[in-house]
Amino acid sequence: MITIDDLLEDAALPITPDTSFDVGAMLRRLAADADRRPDNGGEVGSAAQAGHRLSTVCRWMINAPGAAQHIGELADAAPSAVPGRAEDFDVEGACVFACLLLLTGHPESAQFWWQLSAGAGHRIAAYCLHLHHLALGETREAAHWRHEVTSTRTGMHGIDDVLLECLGTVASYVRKNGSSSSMAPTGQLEMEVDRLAVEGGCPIVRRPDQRLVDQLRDFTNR
Amino acid sequence: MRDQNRPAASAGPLGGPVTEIVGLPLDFEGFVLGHQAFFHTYAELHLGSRSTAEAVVHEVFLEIHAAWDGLLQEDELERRTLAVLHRHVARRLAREGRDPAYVINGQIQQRLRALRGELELSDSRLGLYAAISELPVRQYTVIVLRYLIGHSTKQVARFMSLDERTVNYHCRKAKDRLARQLGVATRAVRQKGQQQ
Repeated sequence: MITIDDLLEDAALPITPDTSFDVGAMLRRLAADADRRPDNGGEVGSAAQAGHRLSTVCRWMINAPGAAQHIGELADAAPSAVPGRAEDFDVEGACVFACLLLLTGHPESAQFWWQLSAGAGHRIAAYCLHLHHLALGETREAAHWRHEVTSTRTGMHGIDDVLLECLGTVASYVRKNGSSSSMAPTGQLEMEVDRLAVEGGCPIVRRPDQRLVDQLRDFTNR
Repeated sequence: MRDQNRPAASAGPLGGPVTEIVGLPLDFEGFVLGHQAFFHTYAELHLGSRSTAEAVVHEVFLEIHAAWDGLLQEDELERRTLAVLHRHVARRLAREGRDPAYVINGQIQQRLRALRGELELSDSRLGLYAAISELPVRQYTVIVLRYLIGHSTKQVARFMSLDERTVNYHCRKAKDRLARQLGVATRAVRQKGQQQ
């Protein structure tokens, strides 16, 4: 006797995806049309949007599972307060730490640690730098970091699977965990970052220590 | 650093230089690239032609772009953007006063396959597509993605931002409903000695 499964198994309609479709041209048409629409905020609008989006990305990063562990690895590594380029350091930890710094009011330090991380190839760090400069209206720097996000070592197309994976990871994280402001750092966490900033005696916040790591762990486990 | 007066250049898909688009947010571009093939297939399934699909999908992405910041802040980005796609497609069909293209094309497909001896025609087979078009929205989306387009449960789960268990749930409900409507069994009843 025929079942609904039998009917459905035979139901597929052949629609072959158009592999010759010019995706770049599609994006250009979208950009051109989006510009003409009245609801486009213009440059001021996009700076504010970029700042907003950067805070969101930073909150994602510090709430991600393993965030505390990565910062811990950064704290545990070499003894010098600020890693030199040749030193091994936890690249992910540097990006997470930078995000925490931004959220707790240390944007210049955040920029420094993102640059370390992005210089080692961390695409989300490069993306954060792109947004950071956009928010400040520094369009040339923003364009440079945008290029860094989308460039690949193999020299293929611009936006590619790596970027999609990066954005997809971030989007799926939001999907699972929401993006409410309850993800913002607590006062306790802010105090620890400020302590590091004061104790260091240097304009750039130095490497995190175990106290900060413990605070972040408490924060993400709450 | 680049000359301030020249737009930044990077290689396009065909290898030649194209100007870099600074106008669209990068994560929106990522979204477009990750979803455009699926959106075009979905639209073409309903509208019958690739060129119409491209025109409609263009409008869909423009609307998503206009609401992008809000969409990123809220949950369920996938579900909301899928709703935009569906709305534009449905509106176009309503404006042109026609059924989804897959209803006619599906029937043609079935007839051709019957002629080739690949399957037996029946009222339930021919009525399947119209019945699908009447499903409630969640069940509809799952059935279209899973059986008309042919995505795996995992891919469907991704496009609808659901977990696979929920996709299977909607799928089961849809099948029960379709089976009732078409007068077929929901699952095969196996008896000893009987051929399936």
